[in-house]
Amino acid sequence: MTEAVITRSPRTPTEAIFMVDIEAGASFVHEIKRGQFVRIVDIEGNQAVDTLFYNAHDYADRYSAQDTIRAQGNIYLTTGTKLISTARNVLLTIVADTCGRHDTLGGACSAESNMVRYAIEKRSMHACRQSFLKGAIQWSDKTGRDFGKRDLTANINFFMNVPVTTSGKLTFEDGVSNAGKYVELQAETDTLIVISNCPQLNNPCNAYNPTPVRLLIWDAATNESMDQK
Amino acid sequence: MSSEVLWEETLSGSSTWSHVLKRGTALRITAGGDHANVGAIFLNADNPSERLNLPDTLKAQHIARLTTGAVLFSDMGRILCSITDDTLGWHDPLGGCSDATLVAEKYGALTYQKAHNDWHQNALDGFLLELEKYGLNRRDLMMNVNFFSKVEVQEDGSMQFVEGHAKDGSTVELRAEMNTLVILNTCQHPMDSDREYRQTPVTLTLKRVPAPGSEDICRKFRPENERGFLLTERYFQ
Ligand SMILES: [Zn+2]
Repeated sequence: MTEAVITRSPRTPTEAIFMVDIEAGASFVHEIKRGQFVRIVDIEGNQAVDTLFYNAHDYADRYSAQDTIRAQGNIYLTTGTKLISTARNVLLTIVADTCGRHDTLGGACSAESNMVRYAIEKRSMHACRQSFLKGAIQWSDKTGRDFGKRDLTANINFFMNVPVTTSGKLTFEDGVSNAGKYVELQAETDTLIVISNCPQLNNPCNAYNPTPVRLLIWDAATNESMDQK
Repeated sequence: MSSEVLWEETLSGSSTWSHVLKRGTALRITAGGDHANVGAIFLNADNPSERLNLPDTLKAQHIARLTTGAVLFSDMGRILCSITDDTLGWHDPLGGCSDATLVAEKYGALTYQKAHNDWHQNALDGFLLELEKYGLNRRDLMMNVNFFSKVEVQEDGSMQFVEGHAKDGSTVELRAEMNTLVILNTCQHPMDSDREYRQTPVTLTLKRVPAPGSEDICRKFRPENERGFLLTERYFQ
């Protein structure tokens, strides 16, 4: 693999306005305001953080994997990647990345795809799509907004390494992440973020051991003061 | 293969089309010229919340291109359509679809008033208009396939549109494994570097075809496909 570009963030955890640890198999739904920064930390390494993004004012306008990779002419996401929506708006930009590449083609695991990929008997195993649905239903109950299965579309798998070969093969490689690596995004518009911290027990990439991740949020103002230093 | 042609029609370039392809039929698409591109999305016609999931399709089959033997998986672990035959060996699942801004920047905005049916249409608007006819909308958009186009990915992840891939007479055949709402358009591929706005027609041929046997090329393509067919067959039992 070509050398990954590592970009660190100037923001420190002590200045964060919000911090939460998300266990493997848990969902997390939160609105990020325009200008705010959100960082996801791979606490123990090679964890897959399956994430969906929506325009907070219009959930039908959501992250589009194809528009994002076409816009940058590259299938891997890293610092500088603009996350493009289905209506061709920029939802967020990746502003720091100590991992170097993230996947957006591998999709989220589900009870149904586990049956196809591994064995029919795997149906009962917990999977990302269940977490996404749970998060969507809870968010809908809390906010009264219509949000459900129809809205679960293309996602990003932060910290996952899913290379495509020149002959058109899609492969799953060992992760390029490690304990403590992180990715940080700045919201270009008010954005709803939906995370399933992957509970996948069938994937050798995480050594069959899904682990927690940490999420931090900074206000836009924090960045301006950081930039002036 | 024993199959009976039910009907045939020609779809002109840069137009939109939809049909509920019944289980047990197959749609053959034939390029009516070089530069053909057919953007397509697929939904379960009997329950459209089930639809093409390209990430599942790619990862279950370990592919980033579509060709004979590959199947189109839904988000429910079932198969919408199988690719039973194709002459190109590569159809693109990565490039996505054009939109009004992209078409205007590349080819200029040309209205119906000015150009009548030669006006400059785009793939995204085509998908949305056709979805609306079935009570569906922007929430039901998904990643699309581009038949007849090829996008190569280099080791560093960069994507290149391969010029001159589709030829006049190139074909691809899709067998419906469930009642599948197929929405397609013949707009140019969004990464096509050709600066000329081309309208390349395709011929659509509907056939009645036998159910896939135990040695079917799509069933045997991967062990994952065997399980996909099993789950699809259970759906109809
Ligand atoms: Zn997962």
